[in-house]
Amino acid sequence: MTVHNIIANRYEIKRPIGSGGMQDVYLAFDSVLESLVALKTPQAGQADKRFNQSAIIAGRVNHHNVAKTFDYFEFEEKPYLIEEFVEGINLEEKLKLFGAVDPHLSARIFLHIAKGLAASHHAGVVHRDLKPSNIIVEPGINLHQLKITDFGIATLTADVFDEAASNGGDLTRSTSGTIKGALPYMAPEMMFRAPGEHPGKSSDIWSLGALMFRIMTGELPFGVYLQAAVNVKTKDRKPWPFFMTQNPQFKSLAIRLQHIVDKCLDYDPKQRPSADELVAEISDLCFIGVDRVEGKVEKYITSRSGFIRGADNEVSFFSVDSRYGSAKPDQNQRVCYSRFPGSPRTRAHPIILLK
Amino acid sequence: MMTTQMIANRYEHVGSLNERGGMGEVDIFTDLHLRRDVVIKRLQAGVEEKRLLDEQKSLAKLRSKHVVQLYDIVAIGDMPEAEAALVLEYIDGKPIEVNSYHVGEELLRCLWQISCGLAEIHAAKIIHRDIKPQNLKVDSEGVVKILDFGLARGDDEAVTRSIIGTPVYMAPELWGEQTISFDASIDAYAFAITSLALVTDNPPRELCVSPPLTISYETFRGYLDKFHEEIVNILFQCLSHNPSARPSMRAVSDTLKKHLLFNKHKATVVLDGSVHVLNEQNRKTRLSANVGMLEIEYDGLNFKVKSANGHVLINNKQVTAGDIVPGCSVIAFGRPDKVRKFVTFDVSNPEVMP
Repeated sequence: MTVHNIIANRYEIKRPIGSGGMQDVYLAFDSVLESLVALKTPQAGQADKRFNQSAIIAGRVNHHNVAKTFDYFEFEEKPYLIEEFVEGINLEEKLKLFGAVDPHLSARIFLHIAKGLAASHHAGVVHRDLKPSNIIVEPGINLHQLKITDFGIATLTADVFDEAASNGGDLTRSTSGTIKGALPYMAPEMMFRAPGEHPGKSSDIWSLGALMFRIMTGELPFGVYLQAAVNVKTKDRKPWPFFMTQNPQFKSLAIRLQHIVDKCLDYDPKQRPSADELVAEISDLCFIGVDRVEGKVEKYITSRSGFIRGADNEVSFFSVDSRYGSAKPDQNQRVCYSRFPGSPRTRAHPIILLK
Repeated sequence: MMTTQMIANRYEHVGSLNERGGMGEVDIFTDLHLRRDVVIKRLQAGVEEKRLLDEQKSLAKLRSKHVVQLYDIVAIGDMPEAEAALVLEYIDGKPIEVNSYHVGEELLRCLWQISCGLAEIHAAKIIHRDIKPQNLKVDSEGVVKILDFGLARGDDEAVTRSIIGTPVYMAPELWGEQTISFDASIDAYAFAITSLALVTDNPPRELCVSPPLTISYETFRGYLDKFHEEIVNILFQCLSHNPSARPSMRAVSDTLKKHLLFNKHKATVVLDGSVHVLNEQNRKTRLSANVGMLEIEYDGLNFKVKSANGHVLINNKQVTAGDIVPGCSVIAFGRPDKVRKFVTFDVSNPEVMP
């Protein structure tokens, strides 16, 4: 497919915006609604029928934390899915910038993804492949507008999964890139399932728990790729890092969140909370929801405090105690923080170190 | 009346919902491609058609969670008589009924959502023109959706000549004999009437005559008595007969949001490594060091300095009684040139979400 191609007399291809293991994704201009959309089409060799099925599944969910399905059609014997185009990048890319995200911002991320997941579970739709690369985040530093995408992708991967499962009864032996990428977030009952078994909503909850572990600690709870499978099997999960609870300013919220994530990562699917229960619990949590800005540590004035210069040149005072993580920020370290009134400078808190 | 059974070789007629309101009948179709229900609304060909289509496209770009999603625009019938029709998301939800709320948090949350939607719409330079309970719906996820943008037809039975909208919800400036100019504040007026309509089916008579008369603050307050003064006040301002005196919907939604958090804040106070919490149950704290004293009290909306003496700075600022403590602060006791004692004070709250 080439740029400026017009599909179905309606969608003009602008540029490729990524391809998963199953489909190619393009930015396109919808000349009927006069707006930008994401156009998806299966890669060669994928079954068109499954693609149709995945579109129908995704189209059942209608929530602002889920990328909307607008259209599905076949054109010149190829199927196309039109999805809401979300300006921004996926959470996987975004997390490369953040080391560990403080509990306040994490709580908000948790709430938004749980809301989107709850809406899809209400519609009877299970994601089955929830991971950071399937979540799109608004541009900038705030991580506010989150949208889950690729609902129905599991339909596309079902064959790959079934084949892998029947091949020795162990998904983790698969050499498929799709499966390997999903393993760090995959529930045990999904990983070690028998052919024909289709784990339900609670496997999404496990994935969300693993995702939140990664966001709050900067690390995967069970490691990467096949290592994840081994560690899930041997129940060898990384412990919560000490820095999460080291600072009394973060401690109580961090403990609440750890507790919720622990419940999501229960090996017994029946013991995990439902998405509704998660939403209810996180909705009650108090967190600092003030917008974040990006800046650089300009200089220290004492060994434990100094100034941060924002990207907009506004200078804020900071204390080392406000940073989340184990490292003390060096001079010129890029940071993300909220600003509060102060004299003569605003005050920065909480502070996350950026990579 | 829509009789077409299949539109654009894709949308199959399912049935009609006879909802009240400007548009009369709502036709539900099944999108055979995605196997889901959609609503199809015809636009009358003519002068208004282009304006409506432009508006709908702007709304689609806006992507507000309170606006129904537009999926497609199709032509119904053969040229040259073809009519444009909108293919819209079908909202599986509950209508918002007149006189169905008590004054309380649920109503506040509903009004906040409507005001958010209107603020977003106004920011995109679109005026709804027909805000009323019949054009509002709550979807299955609890999100308020604003329906029927600018779709009040010129030939609607309830409406005559230059008059648009629905009588009781119509701002006074819309009652002129000639074509009149108006702005987004007509939605603010209709919003305030809607807030009354949600708690009573018997609003003050003055509002029901044509054109409407002014009512006193006390009369208005009588209907919404349990709300905080600040809420009643901003809603009352929306009823002003002077359009420029009506607040923006953003100002309204900010005020309503603030009150949705009433008594829900939490302040985490860390002193020498130990944590104290201030909240609804535990409203007051007195912090003292040998060089100064500070009393802070939570009033349900803010944490305020009740009294201060000695050398006390909050975020390096002198404090006086009545000051609001900033969301995240460091309180310093002592002279800057001496050893000081520091206390951190962080205010947090749940996120207000639909």
